Amino acid sequence: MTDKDLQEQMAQFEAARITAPVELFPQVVGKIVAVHDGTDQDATVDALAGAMAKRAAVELHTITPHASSGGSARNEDAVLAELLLAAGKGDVLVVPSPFGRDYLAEGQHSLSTTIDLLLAKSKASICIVRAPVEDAEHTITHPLVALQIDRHRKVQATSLALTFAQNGGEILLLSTVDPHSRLRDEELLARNLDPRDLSPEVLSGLATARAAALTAELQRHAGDWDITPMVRFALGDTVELSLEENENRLGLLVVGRDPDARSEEAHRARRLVLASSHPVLLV
Amino acid sequence: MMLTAVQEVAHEGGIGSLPMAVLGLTMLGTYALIATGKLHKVTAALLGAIVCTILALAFGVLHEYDEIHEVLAKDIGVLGVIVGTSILVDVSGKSGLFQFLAVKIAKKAKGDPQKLFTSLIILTVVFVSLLTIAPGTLIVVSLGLVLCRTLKLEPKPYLVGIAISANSGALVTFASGICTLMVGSAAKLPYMHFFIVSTPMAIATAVVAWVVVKRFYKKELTADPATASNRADAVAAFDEWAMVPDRRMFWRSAILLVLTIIGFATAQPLGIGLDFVAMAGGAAAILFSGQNPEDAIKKVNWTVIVFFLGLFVMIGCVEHSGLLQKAAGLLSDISGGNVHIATVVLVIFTAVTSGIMDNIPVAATMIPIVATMTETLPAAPLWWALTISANLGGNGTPIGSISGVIALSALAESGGGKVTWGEWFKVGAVCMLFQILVVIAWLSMFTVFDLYPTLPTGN
Repeated sequence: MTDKDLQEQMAQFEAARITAPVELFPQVVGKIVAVHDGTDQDATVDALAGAMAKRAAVELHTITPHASSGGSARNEDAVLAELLLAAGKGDVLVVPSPFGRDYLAEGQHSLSTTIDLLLAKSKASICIVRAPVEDAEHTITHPLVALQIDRHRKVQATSLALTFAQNGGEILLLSTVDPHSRLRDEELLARNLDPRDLSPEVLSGLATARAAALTAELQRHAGDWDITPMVRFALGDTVELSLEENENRLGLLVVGRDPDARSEEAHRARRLVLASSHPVLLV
Repeated sequence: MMLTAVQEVAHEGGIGSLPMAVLGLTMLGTYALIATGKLHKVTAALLGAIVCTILALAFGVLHEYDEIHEVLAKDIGVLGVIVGTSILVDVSGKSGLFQFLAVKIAKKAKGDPQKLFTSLIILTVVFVSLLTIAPGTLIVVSLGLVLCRTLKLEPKPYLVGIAISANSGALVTFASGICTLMVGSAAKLPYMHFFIVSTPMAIATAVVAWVVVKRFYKKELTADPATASNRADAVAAFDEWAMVPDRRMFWRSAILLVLTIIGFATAQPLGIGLDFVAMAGGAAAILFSGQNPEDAIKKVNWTVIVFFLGLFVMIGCVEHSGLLQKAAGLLSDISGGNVHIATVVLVIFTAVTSGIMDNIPVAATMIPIVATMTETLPAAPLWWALTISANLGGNGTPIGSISGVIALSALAESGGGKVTWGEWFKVGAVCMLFQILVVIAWLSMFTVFDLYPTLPTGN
């Protein structure tokens, strides 16, 4: 039994003190909109959008923006306008990325301008489809919510993940702390932590604390929603850890989305989508 | 007693007295190193084992080296139980099961210092009985410190209470404490007998601890009634569900623990060893938790296991020399063949020596001595006296038991202050004194009214 064991155990108990409780409900979805771009990704878009519509018990709309075949700025504007019109707040837009281009050839270098602009302007939640998925039903019923991509929208992200996972699915919350990034003072203060003494045990406790309110809410109501909630805590870069955790899980990555493309959160989310071969739902 | 036996041997002279004296002094020297902390207990035990093995072979006490393996074979079951339960306890700990229960029970106190103190004492006894002393104490100590910090309470009374009551928790079942396990295995005490003789003592001595510590720290355990609602709100903010990372693992751990306890209780009638049950529990825990086996195995208390190996070899050599049998004869002589006196002498001697040094070597050394005494005296009173007093004796000093070491170092680390030896004598040693009186009365009642359950033949 070492001092580290004591520190770790204390940090876990400290994390159970919920400073900001949350109320969690499955989010009500308006409709699911599947967007075709005429590439190989259309089949994956259909499979995922269909599974989502079935799980959320809502209508499925499929659109093929008329101008999607061209690549000019005017065409991109027209496509964007069409997409913005097709889905509003409360809807989920399922779109391929890069839009109108081959994923295998360009997917790891670019999301495409259309998708970048859509992320900045759309009020809807956006599910970005990347490589083909083998089992769409499994993918959306096994979401992984990466809480620290955008901590301000983690409750909304979890609520929408819950919509698809409820009635038999499995939801994984991934809470991370990056030891190399500067931690917010108010967070340390709230947990009585000394910034000069942040051992891995204390940081693990902080990762637990960051997810504590959601963990408690999910575990308490797991029976009501018929879900298997799991929580993992890890230290390191949140994007890399999310991809690593999802490698064998093959679930839908769910993250918060900051519409301000210049923000740190938006940058992280974009980095995650670009590096992921699995679909990412931005809420 | 050991020193007297060594002196007597030296005085007598004759064939075989030199090996006894030299091996006895080596063992006492090793214990002195452990008690004074001059060497780490593992290093001291290994050193003692090496020196004793060489001496035993040189003096012809051991005829061939293979006899060492026979010595170790006797105690392999104890090591199996420690390894199996350590893995099970680690997996259960990660499932959040005990942390969940701890927060849920502590919240019932609603931040009232006295009720919180009582809750932590109960939690300690229950957790130690299920998880063994070190992991059980660690969980309650951590919770106690966090709650005291949140409620702005003085942590010292709570941690002292936890340290003392943990040794009562070790008496609840066969597998609750290392000393309990060692004596129980050597004496082949049936698991269910603990509920008749030892568990009531665990409860009674925990009540003694509760009363003594509460009275000693009366002022510190009193809070301003005006702040009661603030304290209640602060404690209500703790959510036990936040401690559960995986609900499936949570329930599986609970089921596995219950099955392991049932396995322990039924092992002897079924003709299997407790080590088998513990290893099966540990293996099932790894299998059903999905946890990396490497991580679980790392959490096995290897320090205790290596310490045991050293001790068992050293004591085995000394036992072969006949010294421990001589010490047993001395103890029997003091008692004049009266089991009441022998029990009282054994309780007092074991409790005092367990307070002075780690209670594990005391129990390990006393086992062959008591085994010899049972050749002329009834076995049950002596074995139970050794089991109970080896655990409670640790309350005599701040370094007498692992729970005291954990709680007091955690207190100092967290800035909660230090408990001096003087302060400990006023609370811990006084507590031990009352506990020993209760134990003597309890065991005497069992002897007088012949209440001891019959031990299996061969004890």
